[in-house]
Amino acid sequence: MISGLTFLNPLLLIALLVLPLIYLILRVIPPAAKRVALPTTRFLHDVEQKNPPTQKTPWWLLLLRLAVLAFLIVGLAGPYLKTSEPLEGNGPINLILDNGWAAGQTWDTQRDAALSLVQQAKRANRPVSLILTAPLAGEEQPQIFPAQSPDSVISQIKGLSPVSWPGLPALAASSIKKEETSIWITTGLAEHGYGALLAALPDVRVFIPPKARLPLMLRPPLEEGQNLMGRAEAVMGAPSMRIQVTATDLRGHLVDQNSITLSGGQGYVDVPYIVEAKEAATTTRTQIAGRMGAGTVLLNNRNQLNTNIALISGSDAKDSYNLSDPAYYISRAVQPFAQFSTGNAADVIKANPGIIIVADGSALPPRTLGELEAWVKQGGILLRFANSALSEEADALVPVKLRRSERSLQGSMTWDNPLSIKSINPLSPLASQTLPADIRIRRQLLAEPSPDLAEKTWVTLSDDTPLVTASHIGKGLIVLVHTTATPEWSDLPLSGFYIEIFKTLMTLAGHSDKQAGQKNLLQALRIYNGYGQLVQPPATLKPVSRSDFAALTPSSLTPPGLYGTEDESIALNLGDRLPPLEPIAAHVPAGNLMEGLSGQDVNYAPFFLYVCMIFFVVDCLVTLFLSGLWMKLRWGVAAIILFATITPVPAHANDADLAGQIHLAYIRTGDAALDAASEQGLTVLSNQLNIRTAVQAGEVVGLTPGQSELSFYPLIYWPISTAQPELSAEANRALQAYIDKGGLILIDTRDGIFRPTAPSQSAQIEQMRKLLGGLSFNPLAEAPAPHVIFKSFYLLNVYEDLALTGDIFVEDDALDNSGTVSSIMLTGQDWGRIWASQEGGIPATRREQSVRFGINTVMYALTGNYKADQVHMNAILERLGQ
Amino acid sequence: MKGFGLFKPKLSRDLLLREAAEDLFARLRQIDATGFRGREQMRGQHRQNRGGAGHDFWQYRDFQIGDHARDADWRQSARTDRVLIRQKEKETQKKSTVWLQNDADMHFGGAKGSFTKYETGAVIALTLSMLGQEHHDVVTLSGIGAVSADDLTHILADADFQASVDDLPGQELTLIGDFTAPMETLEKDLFQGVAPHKKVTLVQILDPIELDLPFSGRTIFERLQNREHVLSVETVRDTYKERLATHCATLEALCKERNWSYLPIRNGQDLLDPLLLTLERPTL
Repeated sequence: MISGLTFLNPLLLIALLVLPLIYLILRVIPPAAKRVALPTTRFLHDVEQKNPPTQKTPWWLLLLRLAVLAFLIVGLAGPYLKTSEPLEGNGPINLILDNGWAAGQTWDTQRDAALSLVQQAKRANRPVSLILTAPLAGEEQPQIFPAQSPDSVISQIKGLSPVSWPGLPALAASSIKKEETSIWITTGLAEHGYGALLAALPDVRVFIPPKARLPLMLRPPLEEGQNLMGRAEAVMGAPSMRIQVTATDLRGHLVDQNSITLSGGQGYVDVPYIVEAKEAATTTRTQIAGRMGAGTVLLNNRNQLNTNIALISGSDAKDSYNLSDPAYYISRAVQPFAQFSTGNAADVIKANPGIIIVADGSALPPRTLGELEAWVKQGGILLRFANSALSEEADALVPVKLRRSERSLQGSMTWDNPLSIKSINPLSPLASQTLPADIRIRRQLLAEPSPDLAEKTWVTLSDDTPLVTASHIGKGLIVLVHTTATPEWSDLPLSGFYIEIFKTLMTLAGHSDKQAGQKNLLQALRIYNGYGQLVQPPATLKPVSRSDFAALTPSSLTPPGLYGTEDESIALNLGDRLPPLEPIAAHVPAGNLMEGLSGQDVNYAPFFLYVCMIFFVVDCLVTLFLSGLWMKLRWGVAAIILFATITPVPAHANDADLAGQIHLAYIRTGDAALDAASEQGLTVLSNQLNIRTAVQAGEVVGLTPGQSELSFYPLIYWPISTAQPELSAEANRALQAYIDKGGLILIDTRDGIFRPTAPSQSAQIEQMRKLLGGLSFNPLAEAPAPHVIFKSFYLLNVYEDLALTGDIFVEDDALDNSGTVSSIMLTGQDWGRIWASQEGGIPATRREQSVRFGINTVMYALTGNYKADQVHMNAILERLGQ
Repeated sequence: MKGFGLFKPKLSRDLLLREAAEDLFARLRQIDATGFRGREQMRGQHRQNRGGAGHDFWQYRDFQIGDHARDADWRQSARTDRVLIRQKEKETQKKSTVWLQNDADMHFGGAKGSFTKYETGAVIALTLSMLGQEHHDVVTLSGIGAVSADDLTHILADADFQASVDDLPGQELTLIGDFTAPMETLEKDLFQGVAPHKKVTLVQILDPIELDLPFSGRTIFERLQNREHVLSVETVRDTYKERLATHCATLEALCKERNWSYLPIRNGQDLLDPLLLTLERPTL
């Protein structure tokens, strides 16, 4: 409903009555006399003057001036176009705001509506009482604030955020008198107690967000075994929409995502996984993407936190590169999906991980064996790997009785060939795995034949001897792999099957019945905030009894989230517990519905004042023109107008521009040809960066150290030329500061392959020594082949691709990937010229390699050792394989 | 002064003056080559009817004691038995003076970009100077003295001199100014100082604005001490023009009386014709 143009200060409009008066005054006053210099003025002296014709201001100028005044008056009167429905009645306004779980998805709309309403109340000069339907965490009553001035309510609303549990509209209504003006800003869902509110307040005005914005909910799949992410639910009758559901694992990595259409006619849709079931099993969190709110998130109700795997190891060698250390292989196999730690036996058992691995060659002392046995009997999983020492040991803590010595299947003294895996016991947990065909076992420990050997065997080799055996002890499980955890005895640690063994055991660890002995009370571990993020719960929340948990409905006392301990927790999801979504629109009498609240009032005052100003400027110009001053002042006036209307565009890139974008830079050497080559080369490189990478490089900048600001440039290319004069003290200071603060200078001696220590040295090296004499940095050393510079963007093979042997030097503390990034890179390839000569003269492969090296260098400058992170190892290995 | 102000290359004032004068001078010389009545005047041969330094033969005379042997005309001497000396007719330089009014009134020009009255006068003075230089005549600027055309260019451009009635040497005098001061003042300060026997030309330069008064409506005219508030220019224009015309007529009559040339110039008009008129008039 549009109520037309309204004024904030209508009284000011009376001033419009003055306009006719001003019109008369303007008519009477003649235009000002012109002033003219004339040498012959003498001849005009005492001229008899006849009655001059009356001078009139031109009518259009009069009109213009009146318009200036009229627009000014109207503008000051504060006109605005009212698009919202007016508020009825008087006295305080009760603003009931639904801020429960569904508000996370409709909060913007709701807040805008609320603010618009409070603005109206402000104009009507009525206090506002804010009522939030959802209680604070740990409390039972809705938040009811006393009536206050609209201004303070506005700032209060701006600071509000929704919560993750349902609101209590029925209780909110109890504090309001029937006669008072009440407005209910809903999420569009009919939640528990809505009827009571509508009944208690028959005159309440109800705001409902637009249909397309109505909240969604993600529920767990109703049918097990169909590999579903969940069921996305909307209110019946909502418009069809495209939604995307994502599944992530414990570490936040994406497991799967699926786009699907949610049709309003049906009201729900089952979202299937695209990946296979075993991959989907690692999902811990499912969410409707783009819908912030606790209702669209599902945490898998499983023991996902107890994913610790510990290795009992004599050496604390988690990150070692010792290829004969089992920890090296185990840590790399399990780290993508589990927390891995190593330690001595006592510490490991005390930490109570999900799985304990024993793989070391050294025999375990009897006392440790006793402790381990006790831990396994309580429900732990012990994974052992064979080794020479184990064959000598007594048969303690092994699933099957072992023969005294291992069998070697390869060597000069044997007739046998390495064995492959023949079958996987279909009754074992590994049954779902595909049979790996490429594993060869060279040595193994043999089990003594016994009646239950076949039953205990999970994996069998091609001669029917066991590779993996397992047996239950107490509530726990002991698993033995009859070969080593290193590739010493077999290919197993290098295969994917090795990882699958750990993954399978992880799922078993989750299903262990350790819980039986646990405490009976569950404390909130993490709760959702209104936007579906897990946050620390307030200390006021009371624990929940485990027996009640199954029937629990999320509320302010028991907010949705994770309950339990860090080791073992249960998820309380809204999707599991809340009833089907129901739109409130159907329950509200049509007369109570409020529309167009989201429409903001349009303020026209700036428009009127702006037009007034333009007219005024035009009037000034016309007056100048009429009085003859125009010819004198025209350039000045034109300049002022130009200056006032056109934002000055700087002709040169200023500092802000340089800082706002990445610019490659080079040091001016004073050799014009070389500087031109550097500029051209870097321009080519910038273009290639723009084409090939996410880096958007701007213009190339030439620098003179000491005069130019260096800090804007991530990479400075410095070709050495004998033409360059020695650096001033200021230049040295600037360069040192640049190096110290993390810049990268690529120094190019341009004399081909060189060794700084070689006796035959070029003039450029001498010059470089001179120039760099004033700078302090670590000694330079040849970059080894695995240095990050060769893989920061392209995977460059130092020897074949670049023929760079011995030609890239970096600071010696940046040789390994310890985290230090070199500030100086030294090379002798004359990169500037190679980059610049992209047309000919240099073979195409060489040009391409040079560009790749350049891009790598820029990436090294921008990302440092990021690419050295072993997280990328999988991807890098995969690409190397191709 | 053609072209749009912003894009025309700015010449300095002296170059502007010199350019205009050179232009005028070139056109004068063209006419000189085709012949016109006053060319004798322009050539600057001022024969003195006696022997002396000059180009043309004057007479033979007998060798006298004191003559240099190299002056003897041996060919003629061989025909006779006397030694004859060949004499040339003495020629002198013509001396002319330019008096240029240089006050605030003269530095007034109507349309922007065209010459002020002073500048128009300066162009005339410069052209006369260049004409003189061509014929090795001496041109003097009153208040400065005898100067070459080049120096005169700079002096005129700087306008840093004051013409004086006490400084009017030479046979010819050109008075350049607007001469709008009251007639009595002119008579007393200027005309009385001019020697009666000289060839005098009076060049009166008036600006079109002064001549036509192209204004309308309520206007305040002011110049130095004078300040006139005119309610409607239209109503006073005729009276003004009449008064100005009377003044000019008086001036012309005064010139006639003294046998001076009177040359009215409307600022901005082509200067060739008025200049030719002056030059054609024979020296008294």
